[in-house]
Order: sequence, then structure tokens, then C-alpha cells
Amino acid sequence: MDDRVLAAVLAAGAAVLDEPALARLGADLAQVSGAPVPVGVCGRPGAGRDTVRHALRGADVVVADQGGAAEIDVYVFTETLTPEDRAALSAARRPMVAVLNKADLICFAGARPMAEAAARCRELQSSTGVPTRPLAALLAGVATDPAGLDPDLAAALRRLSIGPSGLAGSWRIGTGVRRRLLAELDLVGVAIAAAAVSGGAGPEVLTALFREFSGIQGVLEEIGEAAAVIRYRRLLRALAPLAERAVGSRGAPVAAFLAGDAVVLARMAAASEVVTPPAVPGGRDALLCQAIYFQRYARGPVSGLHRECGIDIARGALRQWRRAGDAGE
Amino acid sequence: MPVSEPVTILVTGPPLSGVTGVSRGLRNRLGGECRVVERLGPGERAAAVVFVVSAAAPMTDSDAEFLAAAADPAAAVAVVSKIDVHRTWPKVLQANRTRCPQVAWEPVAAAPQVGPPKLNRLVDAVHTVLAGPSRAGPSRAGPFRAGPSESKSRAAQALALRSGIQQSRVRLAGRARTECAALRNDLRREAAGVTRGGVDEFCSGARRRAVGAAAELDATLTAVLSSLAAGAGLPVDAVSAGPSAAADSYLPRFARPELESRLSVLLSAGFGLGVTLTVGRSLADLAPAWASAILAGCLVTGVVLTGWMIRTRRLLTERTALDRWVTELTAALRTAMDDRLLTRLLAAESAWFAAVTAASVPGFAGFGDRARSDRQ
Repeated sequence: MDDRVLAAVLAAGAAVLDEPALARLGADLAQVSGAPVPVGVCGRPGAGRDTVRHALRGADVVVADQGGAAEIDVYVFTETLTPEDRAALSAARRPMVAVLNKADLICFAGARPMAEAAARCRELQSSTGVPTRPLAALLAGVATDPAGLDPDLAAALRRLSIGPSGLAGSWRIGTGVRRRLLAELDLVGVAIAAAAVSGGAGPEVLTALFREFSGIQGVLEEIGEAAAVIRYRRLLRALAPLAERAVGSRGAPVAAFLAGDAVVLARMAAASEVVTPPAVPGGRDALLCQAIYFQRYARGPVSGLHRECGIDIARGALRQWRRAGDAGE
Repeated sequence: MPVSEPVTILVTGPPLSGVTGVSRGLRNRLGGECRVVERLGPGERAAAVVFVVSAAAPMTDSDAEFLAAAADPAAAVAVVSKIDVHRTWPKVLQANRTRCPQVAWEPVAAAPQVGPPKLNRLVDAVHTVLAGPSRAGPSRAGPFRAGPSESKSRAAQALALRSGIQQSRVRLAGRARTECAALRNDLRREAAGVTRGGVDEFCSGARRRAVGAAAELDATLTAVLSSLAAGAGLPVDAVSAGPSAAADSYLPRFARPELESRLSVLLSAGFGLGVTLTVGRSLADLAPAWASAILAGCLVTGVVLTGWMIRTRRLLTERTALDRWVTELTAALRTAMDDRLLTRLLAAESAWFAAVTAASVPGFAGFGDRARSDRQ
């Protein structure tokens, strides 16, 4: 979310709020986009929670320690959802993202393991309603590790080659290095890396390859969507105390501030991250189309959160449309 | 040694644990001496159970529950599958052994991508179980019940069936409602234009249409239930229509309004007499010379007027009565349709659930209950 939008809110607030209220609003707004949204990793024992934690930390996600205060949960499972997994997913109190870990191995027999894992995730998601993404956390960890792949392992990979009969040349590598390769990349990772290295790929290409293959991007997107909801709620929480002051004749300026362009546009910006607006061509009419679309959207069969977001976006789009009209005239 | 039919080995486990791969591998190895199945038929018993869990992660509580419910430890071999892919299988095997020490655990790779299957230890273990002392035991209870995956699929089937029945109920009840409303509107419109001679014909026609609508709903109901039964693979005879109630038992008869007719005769006669006297007297006063002729003319006019009044008033009262009767008729028809709908759906539902329960091996219900209470 754009910090300038929040700065505009604060500037508009400075005109109508007293010192302590303004300070509090400033502190609350700083939380909206400045403070990270801590992610907790939980899930089935043995499914690779620590590996997922490591991979997420590498991808600059703030991962809460076990038992720490998290605002989003990442639930790690493998192969399929057991009854315990389903119970945990349905009992979730916070936004949750389910991660099918070891996705590279569970569909090992298929031609495109990650695509098959993604199909399975879609199937599971339709039965649980929790966003579910495949992940090869081991490879994601390597891809997001700032240190990159160990030079020894990279050197060992160069000695391997992929022939028509599969991986060859493993006799050229010492047992210790071979074990480490398997421990850090596992079967699929070694196969991919050996194929890429024999094709002349450097460390950066290898990292990008792992990043793409591991599915970490999809998981990060889901976490980002859940975080957008949290940020939107933070903004609403920051504005909520002001609503109490906006009562009576003395509260009229505060009420005007809350209904003013700065606040409306900030709410629209936060809501747009929760609900993706449809792509329409730019211009003044596009704003009107957007407002109409979201007004209709908010009346449709959507959750309370999405209804509020729809209303906020519609209102913001109408304000922008009016402004654009004023500027045009 | 007497020739006996081959013993049955049941391969079971949680979904996606590799049950199919292991059973296929075992069938290749033991095909001659044993029947390897993934599901037991009703009343069928297995001599040994192979319980498969994946090496992807240590077994969960529900897996342990499943194992305890599916097999007697003496006749079971537990298997950690897919050891060709999951590098950490020794740890998983160790964890599972600690978790369920009462059964023998073996690692297998039933359908590896590279290299031959690793099933030797499992085959040996199965042989040990089959040769074991418990096999000869006469009182050995069949430990091999249908597992929760089966009971779950049955539960899913029952759920789908129930939802299908409920949807049909809503749909058909709505249809009965609209049909009755349409019939009422039609008949009321016709009743407003009925002639004196057409009342009987109208009544029999209305009854015929009501009976026809009931029969049509019955036919639709049969078709819907048959398709539901065919979809769920259940007996179709449960949906056969029983005898429907005779139309006379629920459709009201039309009664002509006798009292109103008599009253209208009286009032019309009074009206006719009044007209005769008033007009006759005033004309006779104007032309006293023609008094007798005028009186006779007025008498004839009064009689004709009375006759017309009686006919018209009777027709109007009959139309009003018909209108009332049509409303009663369609209300009765709707009640009868609703009754028929609910009775037949209920009969089919209970017959189907009886069929679903009878198809299950005794014991699965107990497992479901226990699993539920454990979870709570």
C-alpha cells in the first residue's frame, strides 16, 4: 500500500484532531503498512514445518516463533489431508494458508510433479475452503537462501550428467557430498540441478529455477493476500476510535474528516489489495464503471469483509471520478 | 491335504498412502496362492491384513485408529510405502514402530520409478502371518472389517442420497404448488363464464383435470426417484408407486345451492308481481276503457320477467358456488399431492437407508462412533 495515501490521511487529520488523538492515529497508521504481519507455521508432524519456516524466512516473511503471536497461519501437510488436518483447518481462528509440502516427491511418478500437486491442491481447497498451494520447501529454502548453493555441492553437480538412462556419474562424487546433495536438494532437486548445470546454467539461473519450481511464489502470494486482509483491518481499527469523537456539533469536523477524500481513498487503497478490481481501460469512465461494478459486487453473495471492501472501493472510485470531472471542467 | 479356496489378503490404508501399488505388487508375487483385495465384500473375511501408510510423514492418530479398527495385530502386517522416494523413511518407520509396536512393520517400495520393487520382506511377513498359530484357531474372530475409507464413502453416498432426496422434495413440492395455483386460476375463469346447462360438464371436467394433475405428479415422482436410485446404485423397486388414494376420497363434490335457488324463486316472483301491479294500475288509471286488456298484457309481462329473473339469479348463485368449489377442490388436491409426495419420498428414503446399512459389513458403524467419541 502506498505510504503517501496514509500520509495524506495524517495531514488531513492534523487539521481537526487534538494532539493525543493525532499521535495515536499516527501510531496506528504506522502499523497499517509499516509493521510486518507475523506468520505462524504449524501442521502435521514430519511434514516439514521447520523446512517451510526456513524457506519463508529466506523469502523475507516474518515468521513467528513457535507459540509466538502470529496473525496468519501456514498449515503444513503432505500427500493429502488427514482427518486431523481437516479438523485443524476447519478450527482455524486466523487467516490460514495450507501448504502441501514435499510436492516434488508426492507426485514423483508424474511427468510434471508440481502441476499434479497443484491440481491436487485445487481439489483439496474446494473441499476445505482454505487456500492451498503446493511447495517443495527444501528447494524453496535453497532458492531463498541468500548464501545460495554451497560451492562444494555446485562443483559436485557439475560432475553429474543427465543421460537418456537417467542420472549418471554419481560414482565421481564422494559419499559425504552425495549424502549432502540428497539432504539439501533431494531426488528431484538433484535431477533438475544436474540437468540445468549440464546445460551450462550458473548459480543465479539455478536459484531462479529452484524458485520457480518450488512453488514458493504461489505460497507467498497467498500469504500476501491474507496479509492484505490484516492490513485492511488494521486501517479500520485505526479509524474506529475516531468514529466515537465524530458525534454532535463538536464532532462535526472529525465526521467531515472521516468522510473526507483522504480517508475514503486510503480505505479504497487498502480494500483494493483485498479484492482485486477487474481490469478496465483507464480514464474517467473507467472509474465510474469500477464504482458500479463494486457497488453491485457488495450487494452480491459475498462475505462481510468483502462487502465492506466493495463498498469502500465503490465510494473511493466515485470520489476519484468526481475529482477527475472537476479537473476536466 | 484337502484342496481349499485361496485365502484372502486385504490391503488397506488411508487415502493416497500407496494401497493400490502395494496390492498390485502383492498380487504379482502371491497371485497363485492368495486373493489380494482392497475391499472386502459383504460377509467376506480376510486371513491377513496389510496396512499401508506412506513414508512421507509419521503416521497420525487417525491412521493408528484405522489400524486398530481394521485388524487384529496378530493377523496384520503394517507397511511403510514409497521408501524409494522419501529419503527419511527409516525415521518414519522407527516412529511408527514406536507408535504401534503390537504389529510387525516392514518398509516397501511397491512401484518405484527406478529399479525393481522391494517387496521381499513384506511377502515373508505375510507368509509368517498366514502360517502363524492364530490361523488355525477356531474361535478367531474376523478382525478384518471394512475400514473407515469404506465407511466414509458410504457416509458420502448416504449424504449425497439425502441431499438428492431433499432437493427433489423442494423441487416437486414447488411444482405441485404452481400446478395447483394454475389449475385454480383456469377453473375460476371458466366457472365465471359457465352456462346453465354446462355446470355438470364443468364439474366432471374439473375433477378429471385434478385427477390428471395428481397422476402426472406421481409419474414425475417415480421418474425422479428412479433416477436417484440409478445414480446411487440402489434398488429401484423401493420407489414403485403404491396404490394412490381414490379421487372421491379427497376431492369434494359440487352441491347445487338449493336454498339460494328457492329464495331466488320467491324474490323473483315478488318482483314480477310488483311490476305487474304497479305498471298495470298506473296504465289502467290513464286509460280506464282498456283496463282489462292492459291487465292481461301486464300479467304476461310479469310472468316473463319473473321467469327471466329466476333463471338469471339461479345461474349467478351457481357460478358463485362453483367458484367456491373450485377453490376447495384445488386446496384438497394440493393437500393430497403433498401427502403423496412426502409419503413416497419417506418410503423410498427409509428403504434406501436400510439397503445402504445392509450392504455394509457389521462393525463399521461401531468404528465411526468410536472415532467420533475419540475426537471429542
